[in-house]
Amino acid sequence: MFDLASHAVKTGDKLGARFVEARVDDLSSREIRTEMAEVKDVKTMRRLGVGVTVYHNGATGYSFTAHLSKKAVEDATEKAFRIAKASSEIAKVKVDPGEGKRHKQKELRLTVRKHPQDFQLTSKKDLVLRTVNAAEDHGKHISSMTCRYGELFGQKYFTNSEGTEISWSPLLVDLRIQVVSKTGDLFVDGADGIGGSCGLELFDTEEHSPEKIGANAGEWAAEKLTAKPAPAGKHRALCENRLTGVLAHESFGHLAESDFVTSGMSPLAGKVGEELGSKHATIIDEGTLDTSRYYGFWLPFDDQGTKTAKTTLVDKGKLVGYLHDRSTATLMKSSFTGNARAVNYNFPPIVRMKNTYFSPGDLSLEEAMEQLGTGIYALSTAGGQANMDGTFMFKALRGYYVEKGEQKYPLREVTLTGSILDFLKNIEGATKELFVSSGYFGGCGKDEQWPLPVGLGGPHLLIREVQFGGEK
Amino acid sequence: MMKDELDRIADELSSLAELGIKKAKAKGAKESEVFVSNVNTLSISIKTGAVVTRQGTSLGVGIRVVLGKKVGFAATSGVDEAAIERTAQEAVDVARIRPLDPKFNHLSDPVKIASKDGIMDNRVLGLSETDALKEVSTLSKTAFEYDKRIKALFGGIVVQKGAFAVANSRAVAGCSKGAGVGGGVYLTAVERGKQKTGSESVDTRKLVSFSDVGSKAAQRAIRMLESKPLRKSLRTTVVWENVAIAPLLQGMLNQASNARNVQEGKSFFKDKLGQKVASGIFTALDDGQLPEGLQTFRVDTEGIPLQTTNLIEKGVLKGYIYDSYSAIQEHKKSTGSASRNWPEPFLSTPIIQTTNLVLKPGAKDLDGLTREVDEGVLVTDFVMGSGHANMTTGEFSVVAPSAFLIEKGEVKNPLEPVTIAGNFFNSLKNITNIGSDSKITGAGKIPSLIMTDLSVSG
Repeated sequence: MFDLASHAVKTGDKLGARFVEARVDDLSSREIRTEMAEVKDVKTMRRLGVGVTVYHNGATGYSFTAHLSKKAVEDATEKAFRIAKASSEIAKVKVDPGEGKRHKQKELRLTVRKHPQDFQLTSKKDLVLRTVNAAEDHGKHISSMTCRYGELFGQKYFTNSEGTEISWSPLLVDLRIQVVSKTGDLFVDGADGIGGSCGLELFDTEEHSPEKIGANAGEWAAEKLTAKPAPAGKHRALCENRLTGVLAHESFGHLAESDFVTSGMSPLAGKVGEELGSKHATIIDEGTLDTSRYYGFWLPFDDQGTKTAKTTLVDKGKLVGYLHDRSTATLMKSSFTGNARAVNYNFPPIVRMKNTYFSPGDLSLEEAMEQLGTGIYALSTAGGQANMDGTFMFKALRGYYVEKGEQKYPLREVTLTGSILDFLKNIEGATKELFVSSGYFGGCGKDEQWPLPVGLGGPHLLIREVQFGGEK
Repeated sequence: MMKDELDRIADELSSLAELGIKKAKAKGAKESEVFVSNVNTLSISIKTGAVVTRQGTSLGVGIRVVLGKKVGFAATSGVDEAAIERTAQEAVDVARIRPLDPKFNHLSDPVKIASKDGIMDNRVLGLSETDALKEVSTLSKTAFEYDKRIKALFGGIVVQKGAFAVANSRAVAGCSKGAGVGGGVYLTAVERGKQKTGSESVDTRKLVSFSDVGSKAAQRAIRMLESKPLRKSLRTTVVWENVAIAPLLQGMLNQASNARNVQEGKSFFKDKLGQKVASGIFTALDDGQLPEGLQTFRVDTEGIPLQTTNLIEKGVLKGYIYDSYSAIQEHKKSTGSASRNWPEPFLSTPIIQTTNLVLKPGAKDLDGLTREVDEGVLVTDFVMGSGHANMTTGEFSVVAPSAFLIEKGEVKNPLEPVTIAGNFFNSLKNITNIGSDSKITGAGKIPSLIMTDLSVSG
């Protein structure tokens, strides 16, 4: 595979390109989906192709092919060169890849006990069915249930004009279930799941066993049958790890992506050194977390062959950095952070996150609950969206009304809205545990590229004046 | 690329699909379906002057095989004979380890109805990267020239042309092609530290000029700079601009009309055929044959002709949409609603999806609708959170960055972001008027409309 990638680089250099990056992505994935207890979908997919980026006169062109011949790679490189040249004529802002370190690292891979590639689909089907059975046992008035297992693995090969040569093996497993319960016209849902760069031993742990995941989803849906809608208005909130992860990624992380910064789109542009949040707000983006403790996505190198860094974005409230690809780092005279990522060979790398999380603080969960006093305990996420002006809306999957530090009753339709910049200022405390997870399902989307595996997480965060939506 | 070249690709794909069925049969799968696609994308993105261009062809094959009542699926990029052979084998291996699906009877049988591809414009097929780059340059320039408070812009143009073929061992053989171009801009205006966003996009099968896309987006952002907070929560009337409501409307009706969801208890429209589910002025079709529709094809991704299905007529629920699996459960015919994810449809198994959701338009434009409202809120541009609404129950809570106060039929000041919440299916009954300004988007052809009694807070 390195032959093909090197051939692209040689072809581009010969054409007079400023710089060439070539990669071969060979990614396989498998999915199992059940509806109630019926296995509805079993799929295996493989995407194998070559992608070439050519830099010329301050613009880039990217072309790709599924044909693995030298001729096809040559054609793609010529095309990339031609469109880079044409693009340079309208580009007002010139991009340059700068100078990077030359790396030679082949066949990097995580050591796991049960690599999904070594296990038959039957054993994964059993994981799914065990989850479904547990959900059925613990649920009430279940009207539908969808359980999914997904895995991703393969090889990525990279080379560039600097002579860097890297190959590594991405890995991701994911098991999740959604349960819908119904009484009369009222539908409510409960969901749980876990994913990360792990072997299948992840599901052998008690906490993340199919039995536990299924039971949680079943119970949480059942509990919502008697839940009250969240009271609209401003409340003090305690946000649980997965929810703070979404806030770190979705509402803050994207604003720190340097293509949004250099283009002036992000409200964080020009604000390095400013106090944006309270002293409890520290946000990190990291490539390779300790996989024995966290379930993030393991990313040793990005798709421009840059070794991934541990990047601090916000340090005790102060904005200290952005996420870069080579061009934006060069433009802003910053060091490379290893955030250039492409979802597959159809796309060029663009600035993306790695594993983004709030750093833990020093509170125990009991202390945090006590400090919350009266307010809303919001957990996990059913998705959300953020706008470039910093406003966001997120749905928590679960919520409880808390009075005097005690959980009183469950809530449904728990929607948080606000502006991330206000939100950071209003953080009153963080708990001491850190939880990070990733997933095969529901990765990150940007421009045309979706779903990119990312990790996200954090501790519990205590925040004042959070706007909750919902019907009045 | 011209129309005849796309025709040639479609023919080639059809013979590859037939070849795949032979390969699957040789591997022991008497029943199989082979889907092959070839989609060329030219995508140019501009981010405040920095340009990234990408072009290439995504192609591959997806094979479903049936062994007894066990169904397996495998897919791979690339379409050479070896790839097809390997994928057929993998699909067979997957099917072998699958439990029986007692509800799976067989793959689709041929359905004979006349159907056509949508409009094909040679100017779109022949659009060169140089032409497209010129359009992108103009689109960016008109935005920045509109007002000096426009500070940042993300925009671009995507040209996509492609074909797919699908065949199965029960004599279904179909192919379809399409080509379209889309241009869009998302930008920010900044004044005295206040930052506002605006967006505009045009998606079309016929080549148009994108020159005013930039200025329209700019206009949307600039007018929000005067926004004031609402500072209260109220139940009131909401006038939704077409682009603001289209994603929510499509998401909800798609989920509720989906026959598989009905069968699995995930649809709000379950057991409601023939009942009143919406206001009497509300008529919605799923029109897979709308010539200008972006989702128009001759056949769906199971090879069944696309057609027009009545979903709701004058407020009364008339029908659901089916793929072959869900149709067979009810001894019905598929409505041609099996869809796979663009631009690599070969990688996925079919799911039920509306094609072009078309709402019957009314007589008034957006201004006319607004003038009818004594007190309420006008929601324009995109809203956040449409995709995260609960499509089963209809509960939604969205944030509108571009809303205005309406008083006595007049549009007053723009508002700081407001949250709008309600139950979509209850709100369908509270639609008091529908506009004449239908807009073509990926969702279909949807006009502006008025919904009363929603919760608005900010």
